[in-house]
Amino acid sequence: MRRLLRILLKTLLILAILLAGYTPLQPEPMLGKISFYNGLFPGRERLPFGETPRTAYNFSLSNLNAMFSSHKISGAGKLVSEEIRVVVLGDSSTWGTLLKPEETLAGQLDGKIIELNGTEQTLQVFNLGYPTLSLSKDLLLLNRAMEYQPDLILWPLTMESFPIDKQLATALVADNLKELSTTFQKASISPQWFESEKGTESWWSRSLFSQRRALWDLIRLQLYGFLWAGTGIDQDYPQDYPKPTIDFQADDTFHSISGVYPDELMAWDVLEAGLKTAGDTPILFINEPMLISNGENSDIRYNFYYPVEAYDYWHREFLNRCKSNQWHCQDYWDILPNIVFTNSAIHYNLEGAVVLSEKLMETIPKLLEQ
Amino acid sequence: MFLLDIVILLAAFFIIGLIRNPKLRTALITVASVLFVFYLQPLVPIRNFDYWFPFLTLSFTLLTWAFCARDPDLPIQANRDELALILFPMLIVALSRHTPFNTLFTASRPPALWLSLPAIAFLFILLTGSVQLLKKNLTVLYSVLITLLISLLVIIKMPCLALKASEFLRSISGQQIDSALASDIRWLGYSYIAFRLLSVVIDRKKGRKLFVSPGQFVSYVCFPPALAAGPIDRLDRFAKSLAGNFLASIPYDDAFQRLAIGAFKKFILADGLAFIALSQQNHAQFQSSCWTWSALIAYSLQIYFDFSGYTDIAIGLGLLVGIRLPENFNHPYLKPDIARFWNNWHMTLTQWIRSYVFNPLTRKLRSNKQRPLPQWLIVLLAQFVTMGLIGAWHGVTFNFLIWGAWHAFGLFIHQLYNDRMKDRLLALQQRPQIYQLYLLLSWLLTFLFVALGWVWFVLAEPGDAMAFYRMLLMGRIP
Repeated sequence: MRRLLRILLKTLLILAILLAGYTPLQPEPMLGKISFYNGLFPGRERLPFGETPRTAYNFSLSNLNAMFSSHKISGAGKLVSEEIRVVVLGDSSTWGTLLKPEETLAGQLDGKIIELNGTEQTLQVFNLGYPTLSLSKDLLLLNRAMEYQPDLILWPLTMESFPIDKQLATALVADNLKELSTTFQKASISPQWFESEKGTESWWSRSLFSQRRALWDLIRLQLYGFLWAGTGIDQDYPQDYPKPTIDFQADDTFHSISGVYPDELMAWDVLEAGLKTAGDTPILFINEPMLISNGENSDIRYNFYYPVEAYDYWHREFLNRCKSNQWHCQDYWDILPNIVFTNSAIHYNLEGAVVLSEKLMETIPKLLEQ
Repeated sequence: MFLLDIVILLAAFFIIGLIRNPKLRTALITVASVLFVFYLQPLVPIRNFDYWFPFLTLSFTLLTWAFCARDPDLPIQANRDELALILFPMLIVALSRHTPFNTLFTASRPPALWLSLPAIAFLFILLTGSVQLLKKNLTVLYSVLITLLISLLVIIKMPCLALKASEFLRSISGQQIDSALASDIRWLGYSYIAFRLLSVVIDRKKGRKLFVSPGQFVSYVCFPPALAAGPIDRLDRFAKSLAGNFLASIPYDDAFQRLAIGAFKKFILADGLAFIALSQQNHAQFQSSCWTWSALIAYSLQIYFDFSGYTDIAIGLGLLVGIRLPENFNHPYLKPDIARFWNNWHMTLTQWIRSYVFNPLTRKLRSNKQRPLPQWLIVLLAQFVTMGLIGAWHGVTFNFLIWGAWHAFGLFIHQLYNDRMKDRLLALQQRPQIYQLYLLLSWLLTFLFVALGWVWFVLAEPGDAMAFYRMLLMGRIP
């Protein structure tokens, strides 16, 4: 019994040291860098995301170090002279909901050969899409992507990523406000909507007890690496899924506002921050394809996301800004037929990814030659 | 059992273990056994069956005691106090329906009192009436009891019958039959309970007398740490402890060490390996045989750590109240042949099967003097029946039966090999280095044989298993 009490006391002491040391040290972000990926397991083709880990062998977590350490971009090493490194940002359509990694836009572009200044170059394309609609999330990932020295950044975006109220709603952003703040600071941009939201972390949220789930997620990510490596599966592929709606009620509101959505409620400044974060690396903004419905009230709404009036206004504004700021932009909003959209107005299938990649293959060499 | 259940059991047993008075400790173990049968029963989709399954467990236990393990020379009134210790907690659980703590003992609210109270009263009448029956020839009754216990086991283990049972129970509970599933029949620990009860009835039928009090018997059958995953103790051994022969002092060091090792095996190793182990879901998804082998080996280790972890926890909890449960695993994966593997894997189940199936069957097969069977055929038949039963105990499906046959075949070949090679092996032992190499190769072969056998155990269909074997040996099949 005495031995048992000694063990209990020692355990309590170690626990007390752990609890006391954890909060000031905050090792969780750094622990994310410890990874079996790109070593024991191949790196993931896309960032960890998912809600059904048992079947998808993948799940969502907010530790950016862990996310990038598990991605194959971390194992890519230095570029050789015949390669062009491209990162593709964006939402679930880039990430590739219902698509296998090789079927996504990045997958279609990867390995393609382009001719630059008379020499053949191979595109080494990394999918850094993440299935939430928020420009801030894209900026956060872009900031990380710059560590891997890309030659080109493709940034597919859509109007739904722009509203200010979407910017911090994503768990990935909400859990990485400090890093987003630093990114804005580096870009010398301080959006008003962000200043009021920064907040500070409480002592409790920084404690070991509070972060136990995040720590367990780091272990889980490594454990799921085995089945990712063995099966190549990183998402759930349901046999059947609901098709995107094409019949709508006569509703012309976007984020509860009827008609044109005010510019001051849009986070255009995040694009500015993105351009400054990328520095000399060119960014190609792509107005991503969407389903244009032809059902009931299609004169009022294009699709589930967008009323015609609000979208058209934003669309014009996007093109105007591209022109006036001399941004590299491609407007692909209507290049895909409705039949290629899968379970949402922005999720396209392999056929859609092929069409989009072919379009981009016309643009990328010109852009890189500039 | 979840971690929280184990912590609650640990707290309860730690307190019970502090009591020095053996009678009081035995009484509390009895009460705990009754209450934990209800508490540990998981939620059942069929209405109120998370009450009725434990109720039936206790009813079968008490009736088996009344017919097989009670002292016929003592009137039932002599066991009045102990019966009260069992029936009263059952009553408390039933009455908890009308308290704010109506899910304290059961996963959902207990059934209406007009159902539960008459059921308890009926059980009491049956127990009292059993005294009259005891004076008559009970051979038929024992046979009926054996048939009933085995039939229930078959229903639970056979998916098509379990589905029918679920439909029937849903219909009498006023629920939709369409949503019935075979997995609805989640009767906690029935496989173990049935084997404990069967051993007592079979022994009694053979004329073996072992009389214990109802409290001791309920504690033996429903001992909470061993309820969900064994081990299957013997009544005489267990009853000795409960009859006041507890361990002289509680070996807390041993107990907590076993608990810690068990928790580490179960919740760290086994649960960690579960992420990478072969499963019904992932078996067809692997892209190369390297990962397939890894998943199979991970499963082999997972099932061992899971099961032996639970056993360690059960033994640790038992020690906390002064009861030493039998060991169930003794490094089975380190054994150099399949016979020794089975002597060290789920030992209490194999001992049970050996005592009640293998030995009687072998004796029976050998007893035919007019047309004697060759020795090898006796061994073959006995091995196949025995291992087939062990397979069926896990589930009456084609794959479990093949798994049993796989091991029977292995044991049979090993026996033949051993008989033929006995002299050479003795000679080999004189050359230690070569013998060590031989042992190493034997171990590897045994481990591979057992690991490959698990494919039948994990996968539900023979076609799946065959496809997996092709994958293991030849890589991805297009």
